[in-house]
Amino acid sequence: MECSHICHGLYKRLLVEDFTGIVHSVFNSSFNVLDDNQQLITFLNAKRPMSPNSIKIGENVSYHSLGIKPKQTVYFSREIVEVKDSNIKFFLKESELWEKGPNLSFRRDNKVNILTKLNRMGEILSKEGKKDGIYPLIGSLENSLEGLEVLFDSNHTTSNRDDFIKQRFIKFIESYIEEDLVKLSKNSVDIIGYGVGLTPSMDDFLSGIMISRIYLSYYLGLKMVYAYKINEAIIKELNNKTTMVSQELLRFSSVGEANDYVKDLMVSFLGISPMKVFIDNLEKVLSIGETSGTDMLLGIYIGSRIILNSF
Amino acid sequence: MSKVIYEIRKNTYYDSVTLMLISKEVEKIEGVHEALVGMGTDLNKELAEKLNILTDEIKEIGPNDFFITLLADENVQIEDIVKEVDRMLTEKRKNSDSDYMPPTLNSALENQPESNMVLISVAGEYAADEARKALEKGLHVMIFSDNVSIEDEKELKQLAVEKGLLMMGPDCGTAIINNVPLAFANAINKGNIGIVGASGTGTQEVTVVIDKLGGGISQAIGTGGRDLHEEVGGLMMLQGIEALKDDPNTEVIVLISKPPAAKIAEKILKAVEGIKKPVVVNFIGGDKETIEKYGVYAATSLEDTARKAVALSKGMDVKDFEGFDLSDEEIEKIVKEEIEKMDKDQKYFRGLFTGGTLAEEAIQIVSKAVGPINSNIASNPELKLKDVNKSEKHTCIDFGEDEFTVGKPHPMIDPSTRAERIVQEAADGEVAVILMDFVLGYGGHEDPVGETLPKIMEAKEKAEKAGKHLCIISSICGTERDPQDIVESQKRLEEAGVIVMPTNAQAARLAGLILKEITN
Repeated sequence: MECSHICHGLYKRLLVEDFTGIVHSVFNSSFNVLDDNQQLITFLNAKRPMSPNSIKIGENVSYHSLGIKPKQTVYFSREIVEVKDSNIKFFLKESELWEKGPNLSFRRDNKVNILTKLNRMGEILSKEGKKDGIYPLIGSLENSLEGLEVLFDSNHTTSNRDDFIKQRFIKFIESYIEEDLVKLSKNSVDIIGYGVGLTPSMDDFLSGIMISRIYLSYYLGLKMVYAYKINEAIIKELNNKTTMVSQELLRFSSVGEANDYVKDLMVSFLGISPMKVFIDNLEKVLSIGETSGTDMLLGIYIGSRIILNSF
Repeated sequence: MSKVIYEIRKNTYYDSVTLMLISKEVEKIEGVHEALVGMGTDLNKELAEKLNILTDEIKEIGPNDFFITLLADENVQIEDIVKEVDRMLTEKRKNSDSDYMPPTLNSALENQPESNMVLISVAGEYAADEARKALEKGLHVMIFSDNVSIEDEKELKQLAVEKGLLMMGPDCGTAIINNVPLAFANAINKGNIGIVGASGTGTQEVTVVIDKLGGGISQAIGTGGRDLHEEVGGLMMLQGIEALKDDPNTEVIVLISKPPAAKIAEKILKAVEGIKKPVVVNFIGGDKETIEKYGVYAATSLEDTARKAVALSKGMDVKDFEGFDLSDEEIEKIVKEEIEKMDKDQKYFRGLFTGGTLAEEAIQIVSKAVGPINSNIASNPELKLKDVNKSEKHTCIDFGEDEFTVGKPHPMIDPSTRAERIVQEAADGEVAVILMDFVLGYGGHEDPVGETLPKIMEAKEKAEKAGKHLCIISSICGTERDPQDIVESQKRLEEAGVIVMPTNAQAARLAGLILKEITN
């Protein structure tokens, strides 16, 4: 199969070494390979946005139907990736290189427009967002944060299941607003890994919070080092708290690395961009996974509110 | 009374959409009061504890382990829940909007267990093994691949016969089974004529003409071109005859093949002798009288085969057809006009074909007018082209033969090599007539005429500049329902000065008349 894209960082590694990995998990539109450095390399089909440390093929093929199974050995070399004991080969020669880092070269939009777009984000979340993930918990922040009204209609309720974590969530958000790094690390450990999903809903939310921190710090001309420190505090005690796939997501997000849909959204949100493009990008993020897109977008919304409220 | 039941799957991952779906569906199961489905993160286990559905076993799992835990009535069994979950997982995979591409026969069957036929198109060296596997599983087989040894072919066909299955191929380019066109095939009306064909484009031409005449096909079973060789013994043609003999939807049987080994021809003809259904036989160039001795109808061309089959299927009189759709006057006019424009040195015939049987038929017909024709498919060694890239005197080339297809697609898929050859032939001042086929239908090039037209125009221009007139005659094997537009294809050819005849036989016959007139 011809690959259309390869993450530049991964390609650079292939220029200096061949290596092997083991198939970790297989889904219809993607599969993950755990390499000898215990890092996940993701293979995506044409329907998925390019993501960090990934290889994307040009066809809309179901990886399940290809018969790829967990524990199969995968050989990586500069031009070909081969799945052992199968007839499956991925050709990298014609792949386009893809940069995983945050896109921080956009022309900044003015704050009035940013707030308008943020409000629009809230409206769309309220109208189209999936309510099965982190959404019900957001209501518990009403007294801690301004600008959340747009996310709810008048009679929203929270799930009883979330009761035990509600106070921990509020504490996390308070320490995030305070920017108290010690408390932040302690409080994030108490919420990481909560929720249904391969990337539990809370992790998607935290990913959104961290992405918004990187992009807004650039937008506001703040010290990027400080943004990275805050995010580092959030994931400080990450190990074994959540699934491996989610750990990778959180690590990438902490340095602003995200898939194409999220990167495009952030650029159209904070950069000069027609409202239609911004809304199209919102819709694309919302379409990720079952509740992942909504949960991540809620993180971006809350993260942006917190930072913009203080400037 | 209620109880807590659970299922753990270590290092198992489902995507979020699936987990959410399972979660919602499990909660709906009768007798289930509380359910939690997820990965074994500390917080998910804590939630299970709050819901009073945490077990000691779930306490021990890690974040990369999947679990389901439930509070359910005593009569709810975890096995039933697991079965339901697995059903949902399979269902979801099937309903994925991604293209389904099974990597093995087993996975294809797992996904679609009701399938009963396998089309094999892999490198020839692997085709026999795949076919064997399929036959062992009780599946009919069509091998599109070539380069399968004749020993393997015989063994596979014997196995198929033992099991009462079809083993079409190897190198089987065409079949229409239960109205589904397979490989290179045209969109043909459903009807009561059943075909067993050992030649791909031969079968296509017959089915297309049947369709044009208002008839239809019940089945078109391909056998592969070597089936009637002595080594294979016509095993699949015999199997096909048996199938059509008993098929209630087949009222007329048609057999098509390049000339078979004499012994095999006799065996086949004996097999059809006495069948209650009328049988039309076209062993291209085969002896009419010998065939008719067995009480069957012998056809003189592919078109004649179709005409006889349709007449029989409609209870009409059967007559030989060796003429034209156009009147004699119209044909004479075309011949006269073409010759008038030609230079005195122009005398040779060049046949440039993408279909092997069509080339074979053209040689049979045109050689009656002009004498021996050199070819890359000639069985007479004296007429075999020394260099396939260079025509000699009267020449007919089948571009589907190995010498043109090694490392390249078949000319029905990529007509570029043949298109180049038209210009090359035009540079030869002694060439008078070029005869060509255009094969439409599934599996072929999306616009073979459009792909070839620039070269036709270039060739005609080149000839004109040299004071010559290049006569190009063609036929189009296709129906109006084929993916390519046959009406538009014909129009474009005619606008470029190509004479388009209704069938390959008529096109060859016209070429023969023009060439005969030149030499007289």
